[in-house]
Amino acid sequence: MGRLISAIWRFATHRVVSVVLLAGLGALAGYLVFFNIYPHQPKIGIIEIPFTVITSRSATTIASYLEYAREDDSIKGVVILLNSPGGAASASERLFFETRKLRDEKPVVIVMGDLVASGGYMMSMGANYLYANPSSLVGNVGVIISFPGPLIPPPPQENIVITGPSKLFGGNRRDWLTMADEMKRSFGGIVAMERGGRLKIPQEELLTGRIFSGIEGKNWGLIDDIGSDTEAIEKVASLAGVSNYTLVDINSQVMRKANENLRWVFDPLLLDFDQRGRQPQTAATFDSALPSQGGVFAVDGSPVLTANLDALTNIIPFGGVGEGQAEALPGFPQTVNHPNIYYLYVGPTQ
Amino acid sequence: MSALLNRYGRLLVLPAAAAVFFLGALLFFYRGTYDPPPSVDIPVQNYQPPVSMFTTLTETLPIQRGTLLVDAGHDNDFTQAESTAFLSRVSARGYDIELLGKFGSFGNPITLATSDRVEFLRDQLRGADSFLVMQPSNAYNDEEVAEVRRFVLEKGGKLLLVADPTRDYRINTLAAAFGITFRPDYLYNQVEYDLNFQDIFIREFGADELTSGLGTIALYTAGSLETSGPWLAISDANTQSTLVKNVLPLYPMVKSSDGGVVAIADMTFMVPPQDGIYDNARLISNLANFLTQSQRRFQLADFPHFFRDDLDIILSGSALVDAGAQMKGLLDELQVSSQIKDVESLNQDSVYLGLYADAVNVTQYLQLAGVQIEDTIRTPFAPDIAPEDTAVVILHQTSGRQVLVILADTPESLAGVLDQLSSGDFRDGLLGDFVGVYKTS
Repeated sequence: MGRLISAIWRFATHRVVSVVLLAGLGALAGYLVFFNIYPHQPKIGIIEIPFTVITSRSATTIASYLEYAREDDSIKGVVILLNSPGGAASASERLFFETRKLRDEKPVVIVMGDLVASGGYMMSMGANYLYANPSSLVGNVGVIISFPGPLIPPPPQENIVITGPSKLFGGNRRDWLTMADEMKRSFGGIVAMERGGRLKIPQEELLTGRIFSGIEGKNWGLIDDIGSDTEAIEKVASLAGVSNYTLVDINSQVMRKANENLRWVFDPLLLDFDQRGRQPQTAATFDSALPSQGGVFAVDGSPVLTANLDALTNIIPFGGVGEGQAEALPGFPQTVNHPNIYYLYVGPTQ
Repeated sequence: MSALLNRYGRLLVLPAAAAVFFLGALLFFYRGTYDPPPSVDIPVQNYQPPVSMFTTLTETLPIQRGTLLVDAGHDNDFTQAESTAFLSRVSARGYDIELLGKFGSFGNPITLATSDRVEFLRDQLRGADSFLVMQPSNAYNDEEVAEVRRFVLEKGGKLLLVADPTRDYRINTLAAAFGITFRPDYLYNQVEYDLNFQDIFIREFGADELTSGLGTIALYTAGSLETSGPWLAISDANTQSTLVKNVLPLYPMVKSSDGGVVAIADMTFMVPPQDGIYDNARLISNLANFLTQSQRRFQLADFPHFFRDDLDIILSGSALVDAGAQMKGLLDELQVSSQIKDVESLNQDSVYLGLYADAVNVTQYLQLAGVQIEDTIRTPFAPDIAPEDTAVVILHQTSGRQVLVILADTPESLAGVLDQLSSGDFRDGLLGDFVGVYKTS
C-alpha cells in the first residue's frame, strides 16, 4: 500500500504529469467559479403573463417574477410575454417601477400579445424594447376613476363627526377630476420620458386614450418593432451582450420557490397537527381555500397540507390582513368605498 | 528564488489554467456588457392642475310674476339639489316654481304614470308661463308633444330644454317638434379644458339676449345640437365631437327658429360649484331672464290662470248677488283674490257677470269677440244658437288686462255656467280660443 502511494506520488510529481494535473485542476476551478459563482452561463429569463387584469394581487405575483429575475445572477436578460388590458392604477404603476428596476440591472424586452393596454402599456414602459404583432392592440393611455361621488355630495350624517370637509370623501368632484387629469398627464409623461425620441405621436393624440394596432403603434413609436418571441430573445441577448445562452422559465422557478416556502411554513404545522392528534381535513378544503397562493404541491403529488384553514388561523398570525369593513369596523355607520382608479382598457360596449 | 520557481513554478499552471478557462468561457458566452438606459425621475412637479376662475355675479333682478313649470314627471335624471341653483335664480325674478310630478325622498323626480302625464301636463301648462324640461328619461309621447307645441307656438310660452349626454335622456321626441336635435355625442377638447378633456370652454356666441355679457363659459359634459334656428354658442377649432370629427360646426346651445325654445346640451354648468366658474353665472341669469320674460298669451281654456293680480267681480244687477258670491267662492278656491264691485275699473282684471238683457253694458267686449246676442246667439265659429238655457263666456285681453265676461239668459243659467267653470267642464263648450257658449239645462 505504501509503495502504491509512493508510486502514485512519484507519477503525480513528474514534471509533465503534474503540469497536466494542475492545468486540469485549474480548468476545474475556472469552471466552478464561472458557472457557480460568477458570471455563470448566461440565461435569458422568460416571464409569461397571460391575459391578466392587473390588481394588487396579480401585481404581487408578477413583481415576484421580476424580483426573481433581478436576483438571479445567471439571468442576464428577460423577455416578458405580456397580455393585459391594465387594471388598478397603483398596481400598474408598481409593475412599471418594478420592470424599470429590473431594467436598471438587466435588459428587458416585452413581447405584446393580443392586448397590452393602459396599465399593461404603463408596465411595458419600464422595458428596454417593445415588440408587438401587427394585430396586437396597444396604447389606451389614460385613467378611469369610477364613482368620484355625485355632483353635489350629501352632508355627513349627524352620527358622524368629521374634522374637515374632505375627511369623509377625500375631496369633492372637482378634486377628483383634477386628480384624474394629473394622473393622465403623469401617464403621458412616463410614456414621453421612457420612449423619448422614439415616440412620434403628439401627446394630445396619445392622451385621447386611443388604442392602436401593432402596425400603428410601430408607426407612432409606441412600440419599437414588429416581432415575436424569437426576435425578442435575440434582442435581449444582444442588449445583454451574451451568446450561447439558455432559456429559463421564470414562472416555474418562482412557483417552485413558492412551493418550497410553503413547505417550509407548513411542514412544521403538519407535524404539530400530528402531535396533537387532530383529524386532518380533506385536501380539497385547503386547496380551495388558498387557490390564490398558487396551489399546494408536493413531490409525490399528494397535498402538502391537509388542514382546515380556520384551524391554521389559530396558529399563524394572519391577524386581520385583508379584513373588510364587516369584520374590522362592524359598528361604523358609513360604507367604506375603495377608491377606484384604473389604468384599464374596457373595450367596446355591447 | 530561482530554486523556488524551479521547484514550485509549475503550481502557477493552476491559476493560469483557471484564468484561461474562465476567459475562454467568458469569451464564449459574453460578447459585451449591458449598458442600462438612465432612469429619470417622473417630473411630477411639472404638473400644474388647471385653476378655474370663479366669478361673482351682481345683477339687478327684473321682477315679473309668472309660473315656471319644471318637468319632474318623466323619470328625469337630476336631483332637487342639482336644480336648486338655477331655480332659485328664476324664483328671485318673481316667478313661482311648479313641478310636473314631484321629487321623491332622495331628491330625484318621481315618474308619473303615462296615463296621468298628459292630463297633468295639459292642466299645469295652462297656468304656466314657461316650461323647463331637464333630462327626461321617458320620452314625450305625441299627445304631450302636441300640448307643449301648443304652449310654445300658440300661447307664447317659453321652453328650456336641457340634456346632459352623460346621463340618460330621451328628449328628442320633444326637441324635434321645435326643429332641434340633441346629438348622441359629447364634446371634448384635448388642448384646453377646465378640469378634464370633457370640460370645454366656449368663447364664441351668437348675438342674442341670452348670450349678452358672456365672454367664456365652461360646460362640463356638453353634447352638440342641431337646429333649424339660430345657434347661440359654437365651439372652437380644438373642440371635437365623439360622433363626428372636423365635419360639422358644434353647437352646445341653440334656439328654435320661432325663438320660444332654447336647448342646452349640458346640465352640470348650472350645478354648484360649476355655476360660478367664468361666465356660467351670467349664462344662468340670462336663461332665467329668458324663462321669466315670457309673453304668454292666455286663452279662455286657461281659466283661471290668466288672472294674476286681484280682480274685480262686476255684477250687472243686484239680482246676481248669489252668482257674484258663487264666483268669488270659485276664485277663492283657485287662490285668486277678488272683490265684488259695482263699477268696472279699466286698470283692473275683471269678471263681468250679467244676463243677456244687460249685454249692452259689455258691447265692446262682445263686438271684439264677434259675438252678437239678440234673438239668437251669433258667433263666427258656429251656427246661430237659441239663447234659452244658455250662457256665453268671453275672454278679452288688452295691455295685460284680462276681462272675463259671463252672460246667461237667467240667473239659474249663470249659476250653471259657473259650475262648469268650477269643474273645468267649460272647456268642452269652447267655440274658439276666447269664446265659449254653453247649454246650462
